[in-house]
Amino acid sequence: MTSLLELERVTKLYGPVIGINDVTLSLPPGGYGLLGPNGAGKTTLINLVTGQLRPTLGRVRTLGRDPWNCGAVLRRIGLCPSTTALLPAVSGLDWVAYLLELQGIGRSAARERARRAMRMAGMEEAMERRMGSYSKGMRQRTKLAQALAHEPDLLILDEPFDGLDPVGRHEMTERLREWMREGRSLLLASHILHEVEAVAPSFLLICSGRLLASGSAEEVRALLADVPAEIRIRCDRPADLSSRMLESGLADGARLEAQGALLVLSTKAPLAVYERLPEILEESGIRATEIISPDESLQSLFDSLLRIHRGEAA
Amino acid sequence: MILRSIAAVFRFEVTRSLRFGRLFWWLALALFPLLVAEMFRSLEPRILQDEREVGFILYVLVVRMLCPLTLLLWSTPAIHAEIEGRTWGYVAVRPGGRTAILLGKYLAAVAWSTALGWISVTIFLVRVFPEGWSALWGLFVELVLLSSLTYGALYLLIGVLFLKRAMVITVSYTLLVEVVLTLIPAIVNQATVDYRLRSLFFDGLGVDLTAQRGWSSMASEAGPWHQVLVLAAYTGVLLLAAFLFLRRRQLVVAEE
Repeated sequence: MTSLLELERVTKLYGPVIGINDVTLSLPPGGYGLLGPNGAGKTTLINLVTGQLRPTLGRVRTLGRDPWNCGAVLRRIGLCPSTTALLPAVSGLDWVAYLLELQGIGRSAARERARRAMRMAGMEEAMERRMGSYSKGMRQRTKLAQALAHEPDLLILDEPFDGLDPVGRHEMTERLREWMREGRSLLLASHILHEVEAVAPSFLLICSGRLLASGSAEEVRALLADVPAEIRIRCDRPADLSSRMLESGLADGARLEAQGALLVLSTKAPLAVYERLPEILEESGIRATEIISPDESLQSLFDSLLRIHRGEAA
Repeated sequence: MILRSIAAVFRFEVTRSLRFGRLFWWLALALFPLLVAEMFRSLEPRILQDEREVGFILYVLVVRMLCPLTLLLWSTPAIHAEIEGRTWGYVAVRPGGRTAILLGKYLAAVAWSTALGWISVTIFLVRVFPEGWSALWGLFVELVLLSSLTYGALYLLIGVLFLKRAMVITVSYTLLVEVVLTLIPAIVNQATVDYRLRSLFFDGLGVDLTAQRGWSSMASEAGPWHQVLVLAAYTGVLLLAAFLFLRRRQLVVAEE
């Protein structure tokens, strides 16, 4: 079976700036979430697999072929870029029909398909209106319609949830799930974990242009199970608290930051730390003013993966 | 399929330009040569009664000013407008999308420029030179079309080569090459578009410039078909170069 995407030691440089750094991956058809903080290289990766950029080093294959100037590949891709800018004086229907004509579809068929795609994206009421009057959510739906309208084999969405209200997010999630249920392929780039998790069964985690991990949600969690979490505590005697935490065996490591005012504890058992910390503080008479826990956000996930990548964590 | 895509871009661009504001300025530009002529005639009523005088002012104002100006506004920013408007990503991922945008927008620019030139020439001749308008009209229909096709391709290429400051570079190029260099009485002026248009213009008026002392290098001795073929070759080469450069360029819209 032809791979959906294949990247072989791909590096993309923008002058001295690294967009993508030595990425190798091979993905069979399916649904993938491309996760990474802002500036991680997600859009560069999308531009490479959609043939808008050429790699500085390495080889890119999309649906089995080099996507650069390749009509056969472009015909099978639907792209929803991250930009929300649309032509303000043109109606959503006219615009989607126009893009379908560029796809090689005849004028009347393009209009019919555009109408259907706009209806499917929940834009039936507003499709004849100028896009300048659209809300951000309506723009996202119109963008989705133009990406879906020619029924591509691979749908690529760059931050499709941006600007959507909770109802809009739910509707978008449902539409993408339906797309997945039809057995089609999807690459969904986002910096918000739970949005991707709700749609795509597998993840690619990218940060600073590097592919840090890939696999299912369970596989990524298993990877992180042994990664120490960092808890930051601001208190009046950080050195004292540090030695107590290390003596108690709750912390695996400790360091002082902010000129000795902030204690950073490294622990594989953060829940145990939270349980015992009040007791230790009371016993020692140390006054803590701030506790910053590692949150569930993607950034902390990436911080952990980067530490693994750099060899700072086992 | 690519022809269908080019036609789609052409139709889309022309349709979305049909707005009151743009049509108003377009019509105002079309009336500009007539306004200049009326101003001259109010100062000196005896001018613009001769075919050569009328032809000369039409050549300068329509073929050398209005058409290039329209193309400067339409053809030069053809690709940059898509990048700036953040719509490039949608069209660049269509099969043949880059070519379709390039040539569809070029044809739209040529259509607007040609229509402007023809309307301007027609209004001017009917109002200023009603007794002899038909002789000049045919000549200017041809000159306006050739001017639009060639300058359109030239400005398109400049717009593809220099996405940033394309307008400034186009204006500078036009002033240096098509205004200054073309008037230098030396062989170098033969490389300009104006030299070919000028040769056609004088030939159409029946003026043998090459036989006049000191003016021999200002126009070509070759027949009109030669000039048309040279201009067609210019247009073809410029469009091909624009196509090849755009095909090789890696263009992406910067993130918001």
